[in-house]
Amino acid sequence: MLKNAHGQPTDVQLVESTLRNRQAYGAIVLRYQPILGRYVKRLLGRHASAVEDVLQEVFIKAYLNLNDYDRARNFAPWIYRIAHNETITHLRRRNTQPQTISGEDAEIILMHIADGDDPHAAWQRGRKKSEMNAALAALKPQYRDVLVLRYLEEKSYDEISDILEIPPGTVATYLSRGLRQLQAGSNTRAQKND
Amino acid sequence: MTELQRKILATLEERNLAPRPAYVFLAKFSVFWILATSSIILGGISFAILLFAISGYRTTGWSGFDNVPLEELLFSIPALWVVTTPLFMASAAYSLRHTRRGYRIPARTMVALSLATSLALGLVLHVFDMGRHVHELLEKNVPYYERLTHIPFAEWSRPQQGYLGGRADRLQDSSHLLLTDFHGKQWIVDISSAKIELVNSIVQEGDVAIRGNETGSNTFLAVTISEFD
Repeated sequence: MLKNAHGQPTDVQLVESTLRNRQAYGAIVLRYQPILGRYVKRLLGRHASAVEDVLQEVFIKAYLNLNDYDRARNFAPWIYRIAHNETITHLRRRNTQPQTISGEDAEIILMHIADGDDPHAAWQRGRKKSEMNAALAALKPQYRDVLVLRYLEEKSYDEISDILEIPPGTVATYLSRGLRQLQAGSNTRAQKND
Repeated sequence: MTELQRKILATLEERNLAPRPAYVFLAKFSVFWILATSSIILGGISFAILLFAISGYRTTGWSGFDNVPLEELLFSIPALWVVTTPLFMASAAYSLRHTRRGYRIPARTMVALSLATSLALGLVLHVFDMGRHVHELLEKNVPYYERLTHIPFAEWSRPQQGYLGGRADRLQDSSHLLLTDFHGKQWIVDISSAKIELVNSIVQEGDVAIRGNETGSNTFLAVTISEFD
């Protein structure tokens, strides 16, 4: 049997095993629970207590739709897409938008904005931390989704395209607009505070 | 085993859940492919009929009539197909977008692709005279179709004003053509002194447009004979 880089069965093998034997699905749950848990938590924000309920829905839905998974593609973007859609559905049911990003996550995105395009990056980072959450909250949801997937989940453009079902070119556009908007937003807030 | 693993496996067991069969997904995506393909084909046919109507009016109208008003020219483009052509193209773009990997292609590219495919297909169909065949088929079988389209049959059904159109059936002799007009009436057309502007021989041409003079209840003296489309 083929193994992945860690000597474990590949996702495709686990999917095929699950289609033969329901119990094998436990291995997929085990593999993706921490990754999807973190992602769903990021999208839920202050509703993070619902993570387990949403994850349960995600894994049940993924199981029911296993035959929809295209074996020629990576499994991760496919299950991420289900997680994304289920979380958005959950938030809609609660009549709320995806929430802003936590302070630590905001810092990671902030590093991507400051690095490379400002000689006083470190100083700027320190100054902007406090303005970051507000700027993130003001971002359009599609920009925020792409920023989270790119910088927090570390997904490639191609994977983001598969998760959000948008063309890879649009991913690049949203990413650059999101970063620009975030930078402009945090600068404005910083100037107000100075 | 984690708590979540246990819960999920228990739920699957309790509800006796099973993955949906592969054919369900195959059917779902096939529907979109079928819809996209049929939309492109129908868009192509619509465009072919448009070309048939426009080219028919160009050769028979602009070159055949004196002082054709602009409204008449615009009216000669069948509104039905003007509306349906972009609708079919939009439907093709929508369906392609919903195929398995359709989201990877930007909407603008998808629309341009559907448009280009339908237009190219329409051109090919027009070359093979499909626009006319489909138009005639619809005319025979679909009530009210003729009211929704306007191909200038009426303009060439005015023998008393010198315009006679119809199907060239056969040559009675070297100077006389037997013709059935667009209302099914048979005519004997004197072609002895006519200027014939046809690529094919008259009877191979099918529908023809004749300018000249009515000389009797079913006789006509031709001055020019041109193709109808």
